Amino acid sequence: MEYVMERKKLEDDVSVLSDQKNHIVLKSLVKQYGDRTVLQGLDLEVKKGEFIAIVGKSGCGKSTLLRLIAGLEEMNSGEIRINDKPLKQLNEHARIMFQDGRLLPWKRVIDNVCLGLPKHSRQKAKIVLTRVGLAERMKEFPSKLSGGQKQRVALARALVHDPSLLLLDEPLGALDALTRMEMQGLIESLWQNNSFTSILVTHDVEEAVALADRVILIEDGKIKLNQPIHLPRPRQRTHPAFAMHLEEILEQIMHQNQRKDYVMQDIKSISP
Amino acid sequence: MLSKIKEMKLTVIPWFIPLVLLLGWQFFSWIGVIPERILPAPTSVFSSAIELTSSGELFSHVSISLTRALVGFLIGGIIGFLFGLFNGVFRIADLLFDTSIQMLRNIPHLALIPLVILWFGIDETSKIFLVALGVLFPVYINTYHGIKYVDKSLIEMGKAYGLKGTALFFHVILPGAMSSILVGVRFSLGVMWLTLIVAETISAHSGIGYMAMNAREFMQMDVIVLSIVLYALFGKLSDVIARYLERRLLRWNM
Repeated sequence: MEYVMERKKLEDDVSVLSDQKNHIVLKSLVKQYGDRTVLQGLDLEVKKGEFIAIVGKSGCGKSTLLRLIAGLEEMNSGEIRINDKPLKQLNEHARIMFQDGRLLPWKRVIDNVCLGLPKHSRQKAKIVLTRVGLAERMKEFPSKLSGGQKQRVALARALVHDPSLLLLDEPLGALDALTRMEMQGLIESLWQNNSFTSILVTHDVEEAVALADRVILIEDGKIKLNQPIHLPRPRQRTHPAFAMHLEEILEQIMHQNQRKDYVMQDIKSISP
Repeated sequence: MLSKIKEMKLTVIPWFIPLVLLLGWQFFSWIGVIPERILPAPTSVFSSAIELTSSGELFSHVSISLTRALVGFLIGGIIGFLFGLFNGVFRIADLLFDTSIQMLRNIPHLALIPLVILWFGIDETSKIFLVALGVLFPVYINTYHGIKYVDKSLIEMGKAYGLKGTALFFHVILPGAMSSILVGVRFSLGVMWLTLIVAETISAHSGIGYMAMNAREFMQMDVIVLSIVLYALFGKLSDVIARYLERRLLRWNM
């Protein structure tokens, strides 16, 4: 029953798994900052059109992973393949959306969306702004917009390039709960109507379960959990299966925490 | 209607104190509390202004002073801006020039007056040189800092969105540095007047400063005060221009 209600895209993924090309392949990725190893031998495959969510405690390397895929940073060893070609510099198929929006404050909304586009693409920018529901505000400066509206503009700016890969670096982390739900709906519908692959980094496990085909948990620089979510969209948070997934992933995160606490206690009991 | 009254208030209030001072000054001169040879009354300053204007003398002094100010400002400002730009953008230029510029910057440029007179005489070159030198450093420092401290995350974003080279510079780096650059411009306008006044007062045979020094020889108090008032007015004028530039170029910040 559950399987029938799946999106067609996911069905394709399962039935023609061998034909479906991997969009992104990460092989034993290692990233260090000085002495600190952030990622140690991480492997991951992402299929075309898949929506992946990456969760983990802060500092676990989830944002670093995203920046590596975007080509904003260089890895120490390992390999990133995009469409079966090794990623050398900036990932041109990808557009990244940052937590802090990073709109240019001196450009009006429409000019922010047009950034890096040829001059004649203004019309297209208007269409994308309409899709995120901000067409009327396009002549304003970003300082006049609310946090949620700024992120909508940032989303439009990313989508106007028709990226085949959308990277979301905790884009909703700074928004209030209601705006966040609204934006989650928007991101989901834009993803459903366009055929891009999406990787969402978030600290909000509920958000991950609500949006992703697969939730990846990163711990100690490695993938600890790779959990497919087979739930019909749009997902009901009250659905028992939703709660089950949520609990399962949270438990995985907390479990590690507890173990560490015990270790800490042991150390304390040994030391005088 | 109400907003119009409010708007009028906003333009009138800043001029209230200067007006009161002027009226008080006139009043005390009139009743003889302020003697004419200490400080002439506003009316006599005004009448000497009219006299000098009709003879054409005032116009020639003012225009020569304004020309010196403008030419010196442009030369110094452009050189300072370009150095700030290159040192801010290119590491090698920074290494090559910044230390030398910082050393030169700490010499008070007015201390060079004796040297400058020996080099260039008391002609136009010496004044323009001094003004340019004074203006150069504030513009340089603020441009350099503005460019160095543009939000790195915005630059990264620009790169991630395919901007590079000149596009990155004009869309992200220069606008990001603009408010700092304008602070430099505003500061250097002050330095420009100061330098010109000192240079013209010490050694010149034309200009507002010369007019004041010349009047001293003949104890023409009204002309001396007139020169001071002129400097105040031009100072205010350059401030208005700087504010206008800020309003235009930093509209997004309002």
